Amino acid sequence: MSGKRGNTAFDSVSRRHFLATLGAGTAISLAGVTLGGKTGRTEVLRPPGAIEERAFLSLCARCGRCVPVCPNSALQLQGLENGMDNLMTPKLVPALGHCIMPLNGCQNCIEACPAKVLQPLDISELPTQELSRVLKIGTATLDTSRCIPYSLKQPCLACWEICPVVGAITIHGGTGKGKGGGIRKPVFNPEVCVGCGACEFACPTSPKSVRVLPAGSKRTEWN
Amino acid sequence: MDDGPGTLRVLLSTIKFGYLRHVIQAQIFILVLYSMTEHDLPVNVLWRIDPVLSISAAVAGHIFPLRFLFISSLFLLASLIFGRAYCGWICPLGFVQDMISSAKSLIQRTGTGMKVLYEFSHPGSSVHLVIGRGKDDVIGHVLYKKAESSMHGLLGDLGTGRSGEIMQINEIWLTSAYRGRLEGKVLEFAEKFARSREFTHVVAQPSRHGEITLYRNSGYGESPQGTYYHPLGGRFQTPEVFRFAKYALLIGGLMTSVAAGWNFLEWLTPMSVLPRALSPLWGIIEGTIMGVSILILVVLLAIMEKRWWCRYICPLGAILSLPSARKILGVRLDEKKCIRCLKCERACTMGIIDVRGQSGLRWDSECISCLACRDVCPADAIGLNWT
Repeated sequence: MSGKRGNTAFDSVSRRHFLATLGAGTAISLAGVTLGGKTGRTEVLRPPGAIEERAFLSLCARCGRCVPVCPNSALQLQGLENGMDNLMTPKLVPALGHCIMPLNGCQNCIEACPAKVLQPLDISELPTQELSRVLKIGTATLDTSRCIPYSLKQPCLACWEICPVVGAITIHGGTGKGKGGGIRKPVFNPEVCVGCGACEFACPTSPKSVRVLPAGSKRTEWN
Repeated sequence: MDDGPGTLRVLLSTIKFGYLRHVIQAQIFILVLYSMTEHDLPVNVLWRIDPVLSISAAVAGHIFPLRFLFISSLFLLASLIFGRAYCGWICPLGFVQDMISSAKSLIQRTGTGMKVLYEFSHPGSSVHLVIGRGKDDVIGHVLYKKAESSMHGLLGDLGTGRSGEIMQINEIWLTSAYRGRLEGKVLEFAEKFARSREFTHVVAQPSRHGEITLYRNSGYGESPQGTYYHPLGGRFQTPEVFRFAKYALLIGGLMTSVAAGWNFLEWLTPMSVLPRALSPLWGIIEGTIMGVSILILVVLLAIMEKRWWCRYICPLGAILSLPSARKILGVRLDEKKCIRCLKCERACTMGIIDVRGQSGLRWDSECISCLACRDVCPADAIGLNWT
C-alpha cells in the first residue's frame, strides 16, 4: 500500500493562524494571571507538612482528599476568596476545628494526600516544647483588646487550658494588687507555638481574640 | 507491503478494530476506576504520565520533578511513533465521549437509512438529485442545470465519480412519469455505479424544481455545480479554525503557569477531569464541583459533535499533536484505491478526513488512530501503515 502522506496540521498552518494562536494564548495567559494573580500574594494557613507555597500551588491536585479524613474537621477547601490559584486548595480553619497533630501525632491528611504536597513529619521523639522546630503551621497571636482577662478583667484561660504545647501559652499576673491585678492573663510565645489553632478554637469571644496567622510557618521542601 | 495483500493482511481485514478498541478502552476505564479506590494511585498512575501536568507544574513551582518529567517524556516519545493513539485507545475521557457518540448514532440510525433521491424534471432542462440519510442529514443543496444532450454526460460523471461530489448512492428511487423514458439510463448508471459502490434499490421521481439537492453528512461551500448551504437540521459543525484553540490554550496555560505560578492546566487535562468528577463514587465529594462541571460540558459537547473536547480543547491532545506531526505509524489513505464513498469522512472520530479535496487526512497530526475509517472502508484504501 503506497499511502499518500496527508498534510499535517503544521504544513497547513498559515502565518495568520499561527500568530492568531499565539495571540489567543497570550490573551488566555493574561486572563489567567489576572484571575490567579501572583502566587503567594495571600498567605493561607495550610495543613501540617505542606510544602513550600509555590510548589504547593503547582502540585496540589485539588482533589479534596485531605478534607474528609481530618478527625477534627479542621481542613476546608477554599473557594475564590483568595483568587483562582487558591481555588480548592485546603486551608486550616482553626475556628471550626484545630489540628490535633501535636496531641496524638495524627497524620491523616498527610497520608491521604495523593500528590505528596503534604510531607510526613516525624514528631514522635520530640517533647512538645520543641515541636515547633518541625511542626510549624502558623503562629497564634492575641488581640488583647478583645481578650477577656485583658479587656474585661474577668478570669478566662480557655486557650491555656486546651493548648497541647507546653510553654506555648504561659500565665502571667495573678499576684498583683489593685483592680484586675489578681487576674491571670495568657501570654503567647511565638517561638514555641506550632499554630495548631486549639487556642483559637477554644476562645470564647466573638470575634475570636486569638488568631492563628500563617506568618512564620515552616514549609518543607518538595522532594 | 506493496506486493499485494499478504495472508496476515487479509486476516486482519476481517477484524473490526472498533470493537477491539472499545474493549481496550473499557478495560482501561475500569482499571482507572479501580485504581482510584486505592489510596494514592490516581496521581501516581494517571497524572504522572501526563506531560502537560508535569511541565506546567515544573514551570509553575520552580521545581524539577525528575520522575514526572522522565515518564512524561517517554510518553511524548511514544507519540512520536504512534501519534495520538493514546487518545483513541486509552484515554478514559475519550472513552466516555466515544460511548456517547455511539449511543447517539444508535438512536439516530433507527428509521433513517441513507437515501438517494434521483429526480428528473423535464428531461431537457435540469436535474434534481437528493442524497441523504434522512431529514436530519439535509446539508447540501446544489443547483444543476443541463441540457438533455448532456444528461448522458451527467450520468457518466456520476458513474465514474468525476463529478467529485455525488459519491455514494444506497438507494435510487425510480417512479412515475419518467420511468419509461429514463429508466434504462438510470439503471445503466446505477449498474455502473454499483460495481464499485454499494446501494440497495433504485427508485426515481419527477422533480418540480429542476435542481440537485445533495444530502451529505458534513461540510458546505462552493462546488462546480453550485453552492451548498447549511439549512436547518444540518449537523452541528464547528469551524475548523477552532482546532487552534487547544494550542492557544496550551500556550496560554503554560504562560499562566510561568507568570502566576498557578498550574492552570490542571483543571483541563483529561487525566484530572475524570478522576475529579468520579471521586464521589467512593465518598470524596469535596473536590468534585469543577470536575463534574467540566465532565458535563464534555458530555454535552460530545452529543453535539464527536469528541468535541479532544478536537478543540484538550491541552494533552495539543501537546501530543506536536510529535504526532512526524509520527511513524499512522493512518494513511491510498488515493488509487479510494472510491470516494465518503464513508470514512462520516465515520472519522476527529473529523479530519477530506477525501473530496486534495489532501486526504487534512489534520494528520490530530489523527487518534482509532481506525474507524478503516473499519468502514469498502475498498481497503485507508488504514494503519508505516510512513
